[in-house]
Amino acid sequence: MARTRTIRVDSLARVEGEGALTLEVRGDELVDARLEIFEPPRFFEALLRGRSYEEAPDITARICGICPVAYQMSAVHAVEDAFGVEVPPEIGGLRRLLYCGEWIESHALHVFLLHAPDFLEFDDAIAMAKKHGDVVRRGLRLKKIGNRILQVLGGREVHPINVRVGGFHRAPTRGEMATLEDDLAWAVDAARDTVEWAASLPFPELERDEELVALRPEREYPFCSGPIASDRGLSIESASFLDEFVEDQVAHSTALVARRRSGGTYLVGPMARFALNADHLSPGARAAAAAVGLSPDERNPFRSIVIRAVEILHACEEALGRVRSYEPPAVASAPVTPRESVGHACTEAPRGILYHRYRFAADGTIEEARIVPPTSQNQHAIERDLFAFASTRLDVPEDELRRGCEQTIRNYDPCISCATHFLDLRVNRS
Amino acid sequence: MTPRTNTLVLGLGSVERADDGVGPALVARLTAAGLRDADLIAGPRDAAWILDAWSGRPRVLVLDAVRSDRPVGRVMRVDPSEGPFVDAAGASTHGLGLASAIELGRALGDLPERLVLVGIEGGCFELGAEMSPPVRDALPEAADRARRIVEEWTADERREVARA
Repeated sequence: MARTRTIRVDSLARVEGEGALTLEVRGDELVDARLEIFEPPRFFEALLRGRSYEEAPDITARICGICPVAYQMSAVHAVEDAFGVEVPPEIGGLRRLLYCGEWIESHALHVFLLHAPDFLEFDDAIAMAKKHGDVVRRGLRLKKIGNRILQVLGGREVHPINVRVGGFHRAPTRGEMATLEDDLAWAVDAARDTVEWAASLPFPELERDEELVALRPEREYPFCSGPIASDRGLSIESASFLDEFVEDQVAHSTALVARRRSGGTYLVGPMARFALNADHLSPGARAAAAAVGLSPDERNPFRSIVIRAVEILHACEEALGRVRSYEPPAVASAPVTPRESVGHACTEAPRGILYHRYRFAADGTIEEARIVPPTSQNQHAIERDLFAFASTRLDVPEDELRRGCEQTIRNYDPCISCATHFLDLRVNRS
Repeated sequence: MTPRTNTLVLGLGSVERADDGVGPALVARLTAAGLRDADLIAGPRDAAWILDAWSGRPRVLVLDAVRSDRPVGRVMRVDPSEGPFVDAAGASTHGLGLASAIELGRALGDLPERLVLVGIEGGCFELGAEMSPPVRDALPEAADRARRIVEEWTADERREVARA
């Protein structure tokens, strides 16, 4: 008779969301790694139907407390795509600055408070703070500076309210923008130190081979524009997203799981962005990455913490440049005229590309909404990482295996659900 | 915000999540009642934000929904010395909330001199749901306790100033 042992872990506070992981082991062989997640965007897709296009950015921002800007940006770009709105470049620049704020706050939270404790073998950031108070303080201050950008541009530190289709309700004054300058100058130095510090962490061995998918604009590190590209030759506009990527129901999860229509799995997020766009990083970020030996060929998912640090540095440098050269735009938003249409957009959320598609009636009422978040796109990759990681470590004590699996999941900073935090790990040995 | 007083009243939570809206609802109530000698703000339950908000404030009163084993609607006072605390699952929009803020503050030596939480036991934290009736009914009692704590702190401060 098969002997089955189940190990349950009842709390994992450092994964944003709710999930359960099951490892199926037969004899000495790992046969399956299944990650079960629950995610909220589906609820929002239904909620959006019948609402005005003007509400899309504010409603979708509520999906996530950590990356509301990503939801707002994908929403406004999709609406503008549908209605043929031309947004002036200076508004595009302000949007990039807002996105810099979100990357800084989201990445700083993840790098310093959620992921670093794994590498340094602390149970959590609180235990880490007792030994490495200066590092935790640096992370908190960086995060705060990201949130300050959201406040100045978005009107609030969380869930910005100043974003609208066509631009902003109101553009900041030069004086308001200048309040960010000293903080950002400090942040650039702190972020540079962070790259060096992150690169010095001990990294478990793991080499993965997924198709890497990210936006790849011609001249800049990606935030809001550019074709969707991959390291295997994909290059499509956002409008073709659903031709190339599909989401499936899987038996073990309430979430939809994305894959390439051709059948393969793929990966989005910092490693994909860096692999495809390293040449577009700010000069300081490029130099810092080179100094720690980080190359676009990096494929160890555990080293994504270093890439996040490089992206924090990029966002701080770009933000500082934009703040210093800021001139208020002539108008805060472009005119918008609704029409019967369909619009699509992908933008780079901190965790990877976030796809929105809307179908509108002639008066701008949303008839249909589709949202594909990065976490559902990365789920296969996370499971494959877990499989690769755990299959060579089945002989280690189960506590250690559990910690390693948790750390593997946290490589992706999965935003599984904004409702609860919970991972249930089951190792079924038979 | 620029501090006006030494006392900060911090209402935490999300009004979109039923009983999670306790903190903002209490701040609105106390503001409407004209609570004096304290700055009142409502904000997210985000550890970094909270640590920054109370930085430099000697006295902080936090108003928030609580999850323990008590009946829904029970008003309670919690002191940080009763910790360590753990963030409740399901009541937060964030990986690190108030409990983490308190414990991080403790670890970093950045806790306010006086820190008290007045909370109401919540039952429902679902997105889009209404605040549950026992929680709504408990708002006046919780607001009253909050007001008395601030008044007590203000009286203490006046005595200290008079002695000095």
